[in-house]
Amino acid sequence: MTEDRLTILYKTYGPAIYIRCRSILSDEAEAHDATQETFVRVYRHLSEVPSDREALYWIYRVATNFCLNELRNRKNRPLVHRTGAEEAPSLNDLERRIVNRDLAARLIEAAHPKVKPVAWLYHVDGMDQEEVACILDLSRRTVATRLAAFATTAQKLLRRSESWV
Amino acid sequence: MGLTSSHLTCLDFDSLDLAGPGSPGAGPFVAHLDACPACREQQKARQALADQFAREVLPRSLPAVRQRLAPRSRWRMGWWAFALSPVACGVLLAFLGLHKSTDHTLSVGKPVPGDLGDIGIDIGIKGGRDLLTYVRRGNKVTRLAPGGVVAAGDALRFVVETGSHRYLFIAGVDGGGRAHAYYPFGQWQSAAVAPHSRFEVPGSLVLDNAPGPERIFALVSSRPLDGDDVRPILEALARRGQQAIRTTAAPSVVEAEISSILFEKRE
Repeated sequence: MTEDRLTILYKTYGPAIYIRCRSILSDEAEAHDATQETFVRVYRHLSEVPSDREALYWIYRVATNFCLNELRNRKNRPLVHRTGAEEAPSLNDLERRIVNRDLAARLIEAAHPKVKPVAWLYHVDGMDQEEVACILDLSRRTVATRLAAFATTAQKLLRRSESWV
Repeated sequence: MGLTSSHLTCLDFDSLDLAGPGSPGAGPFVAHLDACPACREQQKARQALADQFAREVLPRSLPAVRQRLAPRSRWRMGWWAFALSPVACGVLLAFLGLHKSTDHTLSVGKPVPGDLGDIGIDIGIKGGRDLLTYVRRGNKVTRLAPGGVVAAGDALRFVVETGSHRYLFIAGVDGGGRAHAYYPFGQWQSAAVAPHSRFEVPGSLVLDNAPGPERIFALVSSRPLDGDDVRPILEALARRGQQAIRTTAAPSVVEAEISSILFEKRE
């Protein structure tokens, strides 16, 4: 029996969406729901975009925004998790310091909604600014500006976390 | 390879998975994988998740996705924008301030008139949540009062106060002896919602021309409800007939808080 277009698209892109959602949410049940939601939202784009790479941009954009909103809706999570004997970093030092994925994720939770997806793609997923710009359909300059804003906020939060100890 | 240029990014992995290792441009990624144990581990972990998707997620969610993307006959979108206009919201908020709960919201431990405990269903009512219902007839949108009369072609929309719960399921029973899943539409399972929010259920329920009572239930829960928990209960209620539908405000479902609204359909 020939599979319909919907099934083919879901089988093709579903794994990428699911892995993306699991990566951000770290919860199987939530990732199931988020996968379905993301696919429904990007379905029409998936069948129209010219390449897999373009399709991935759509998937990353929608899944990242959706999952970050889900994370925002979770309650009772501390904003900043102290992961060891850390010092408040300088701005130049920040990138090196937040290679810890968990720490980065928690810092991103406290960021402005427009900054969150940029910071996640860059700091957690390890993409370069050009890729982040493509995925979010932003200019490279905007990406750089938002990353700078995130760095400032993260730096303050890390300093504050120091003062809590 | 992105910021941490020593490793593949998730975008690299996904591109490789979609295009295949023999595709043009895949060479550097494949070479990196050959040389990098950390990325090979990452690839293994991703493959395990992809397998899980194929084994568990796809079979379960494909029908739901199909349902959501199919043209809708009974459940449709459209007029909610009017109901959510600033004027309408102002009126509704004022109304809610005066009339906080539906008449069918239950309190903890209260006996449930007409409950289904007599057919062996576990009792687990913990209280209730507001289920606000709005009806559109022509261009007019009003809040539907419990027990209100509606007509074929009227469209209903629902708003649910989620409280501390993270999952919502909306279903209904009609006088024709049938049970229906309305949110997620056609699926007998809960959908994730934001806790401590007023959730506006997408789409509207366009009423058919079958006269008699119909009761809509909103079930909020901390865990996703499975259809096996809910469907037999509602189908049993529907089979008990119109009087049971009118009097059973909240059949018991373990670990769910239930609110309901009854309306009468006239031809």
